[in-house]
Amino acid sequence: MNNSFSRYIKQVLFFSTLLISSVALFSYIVDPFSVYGRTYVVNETKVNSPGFSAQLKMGRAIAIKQRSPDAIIMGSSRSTTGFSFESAQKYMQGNNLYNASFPGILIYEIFRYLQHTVAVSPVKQVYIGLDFYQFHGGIEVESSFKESRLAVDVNNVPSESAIDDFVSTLLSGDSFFYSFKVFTGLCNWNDVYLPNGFKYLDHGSGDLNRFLGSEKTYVDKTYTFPAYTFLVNSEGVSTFDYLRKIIELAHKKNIDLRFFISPSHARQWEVIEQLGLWEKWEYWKRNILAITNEQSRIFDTTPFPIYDFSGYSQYSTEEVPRNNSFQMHWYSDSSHYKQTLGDIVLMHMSKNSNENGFGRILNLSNIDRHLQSIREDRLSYTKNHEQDVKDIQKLISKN
Amino acid sequence: MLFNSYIFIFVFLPIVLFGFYAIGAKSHHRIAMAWLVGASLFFYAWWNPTYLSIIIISMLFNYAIGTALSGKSKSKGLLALGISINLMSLIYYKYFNFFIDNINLIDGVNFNVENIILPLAISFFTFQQIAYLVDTYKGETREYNFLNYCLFVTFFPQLIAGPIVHHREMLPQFAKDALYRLNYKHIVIGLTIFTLGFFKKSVLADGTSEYVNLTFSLAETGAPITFFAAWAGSLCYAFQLYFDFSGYSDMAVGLARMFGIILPMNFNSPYKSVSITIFWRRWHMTLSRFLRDYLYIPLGGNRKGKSRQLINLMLTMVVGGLWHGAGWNFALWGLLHGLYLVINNSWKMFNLKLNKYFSWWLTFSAVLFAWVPFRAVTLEGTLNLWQGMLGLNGFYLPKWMAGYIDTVELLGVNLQVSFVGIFHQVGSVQLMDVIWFIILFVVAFYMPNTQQFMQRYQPVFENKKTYQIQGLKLCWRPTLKWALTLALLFCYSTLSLTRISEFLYFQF
Repeated sequence: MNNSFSRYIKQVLFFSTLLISSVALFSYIVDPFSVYGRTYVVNETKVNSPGFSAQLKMGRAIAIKQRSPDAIIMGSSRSTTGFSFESAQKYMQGNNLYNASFPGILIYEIFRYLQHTVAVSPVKQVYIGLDFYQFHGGIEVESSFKESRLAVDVNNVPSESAIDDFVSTLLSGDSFFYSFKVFTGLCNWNDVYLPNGFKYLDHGSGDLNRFLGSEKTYVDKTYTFPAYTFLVNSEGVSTFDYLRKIIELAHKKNIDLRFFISPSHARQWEVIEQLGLWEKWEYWKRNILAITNEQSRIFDTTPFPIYDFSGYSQYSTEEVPRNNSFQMHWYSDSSHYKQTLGDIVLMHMSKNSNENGFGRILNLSNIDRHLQSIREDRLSYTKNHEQDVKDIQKLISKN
Repeated sequence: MLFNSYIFIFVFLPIVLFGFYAIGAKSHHRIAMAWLVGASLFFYAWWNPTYLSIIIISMLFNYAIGTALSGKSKSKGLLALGISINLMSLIYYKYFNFFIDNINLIDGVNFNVENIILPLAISFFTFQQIAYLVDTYKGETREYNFLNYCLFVTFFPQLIAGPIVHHREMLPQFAKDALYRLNYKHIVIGLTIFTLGFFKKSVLADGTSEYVNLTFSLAETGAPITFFAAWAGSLCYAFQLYFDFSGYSDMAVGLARMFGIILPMNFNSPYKSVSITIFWRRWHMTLSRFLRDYLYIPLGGNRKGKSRQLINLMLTMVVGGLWHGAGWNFALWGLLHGLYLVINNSWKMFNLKLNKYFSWWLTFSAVLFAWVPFRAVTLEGTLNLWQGMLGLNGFYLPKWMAGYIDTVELLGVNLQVSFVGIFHQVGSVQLMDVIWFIILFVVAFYMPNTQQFMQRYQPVFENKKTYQIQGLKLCWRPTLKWALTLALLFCYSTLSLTRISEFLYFQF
């Protein structure tokens, strides 16, 4: 009797060990998240595995540790897709650039990933793309963001080395699933990243449907559900507190920090206006400026620059094709600009220049005039783009 | 440390097992027992070492009272003191903040107290020790030394979330010499039960949590949850909770068995019940047993007339509800179940038989309605979901139905209908989600449960007759087929470990 039990336990242990080690070995060889140095080649370009795109928050955290960049770009999907490595290399100062942006990033996550980067690399220059939604305190941090995988905790105390990611990249349902997909080629090879974190391809040219799809998300959810607030919780913590911490950290570490407000399409600003958020949007800009100035006084230095690319420019008012009759040159949708425009953004930031206010550096003496001019520009935009305005109004009335 | 974690399965458990049998093999039984107590305290302290002092003080106190009560001079006052102090500590840690929050609702009252952190498993080890004191007073316990007592309270498989064990089930088992000799049979049976529970918890329960979280958090925001989304949300929660907690209990039973200890049964396919009374004989059975023996019966049970019995039932269930958490939603859950039991008891007086399938449907629907406040954070969220389940928040129907139906009417009231897809509010539902739901349904309603699979090998403390299925062909045996099945289940569960998961019953 005891023999059959001892034989059984040996069988269970043997099969379990065999299965588990086969899965781990398969995952290690395929490396579906490109965390063990595996890259693939698409059209003669070295790219990360497609699984990296699906687990971006993990991939970024590990890649920053491994690559130890000296200059990074941070921000949302706008910064993820809007910049090419070539122009970043041309206009930024680092020798080892990394794009650490990820879609839907919140200002808290920017703060935490900056802390992580500072803790593991000699980073000297940081470009941060600021977006209005990132400061919406009602949006909760997604569960894919894990504090434990970052090198330091929120108080800058080094975290204990987490084995979670190591295990989950070798021995999880996700790793097996993605290994299988990569191995069999059943994945989207267009939605991949270069090893330096830049996107292999941007979102392509926009059309009316893509614009409407993107705007619908902002109308139905991002800006409205729950109602827009800068407060994170009832204890009075504000999303601006995280911005303050970002600036403080950069001052302490002598980082060349530059903020830029993303050059989304004019229809995006119309969404903000039609949802009754314009005043909040202006307050947001004013407060960012006030905090950079407040911190510069504390550290007795010049404030970090804020380049404002929002508003109405020859780029952001680009006509949206209603019947695919032409290709958009600058935009993929009303939120995302193409790398053609990203190049111009980086160029202005490197030269501290602007084109009729596109990329103007905000300061305490020009902010009122600057905001006033955007308001005036909006009036002329709405006059000339009645159909675009109607599109937005229709979306909102359906909500 | 979670049972479903790499550190527990691949580090803690093998070390503790090896240590226990290595020491036991040299006939150092007391040291082996101390090893197990030490390991259990380490396991408890893993979350937060500061909790350790609370459980140690609690054990010292209760052992001292128990020793005094087992002497010749039995004092009712001493028993009352023992129970009161246990209850007071439970009330302080678990209900004080709730009490203050409610007092503060009164106009002009504003007490500011620091948030008291609930020590892990306090509800479980307090109840277990109260039972010990009562039984000692009644002279139903034998005298055991402090080390045995410590193991009875801290034994890590059942420490955190039960089953709530009884001293007469545990202490005699610890005293057996055979316990300390490595027995492959125990290891194999334990590993098999553990793996079945591991699969239920990591794969079935955690795989369902996403949709549940989505629906219930949406309900809390005030967005009216429509009919199908509300039903799907509460059904998924019913499955999630069952697989989570029964899976956890199986893991506990399996772990204890690896050390040669047989624990009581905690679940016996409760969703197959055809009445609410039967449901409570099959759901969280060790808690029901405790509430029956130490609350319902002392209150008078059914010995003081029908109306008093119904009041006792209501009271017991409300206390049972509040045991799960300090919140009105838990009280409401208990109240509902109390009401169900009262109705069930009153119905029996008419001696009218209902169709078996109708009875099952009615019981399950009632349980489902009651799970809503159990999971919802606020009463507003609960009402929102209930309204949704009753169709009062309107219906979202598939787009293709737009041409066929104009309105939906209920009791003469036109209900709001939109043709935007039935799960519009919570995202789209894929074929895989439907398959997943069917799997949960089949496992919960049609498959044998863990102790039925294992019925040849006395998996639980209770008599075999209480759970076995006569002539069941799927019974587990130590064969190659089962070894392969178990290895597959174990691997699948291990691969599912990296999802974020907490045992739902930890908060209780």
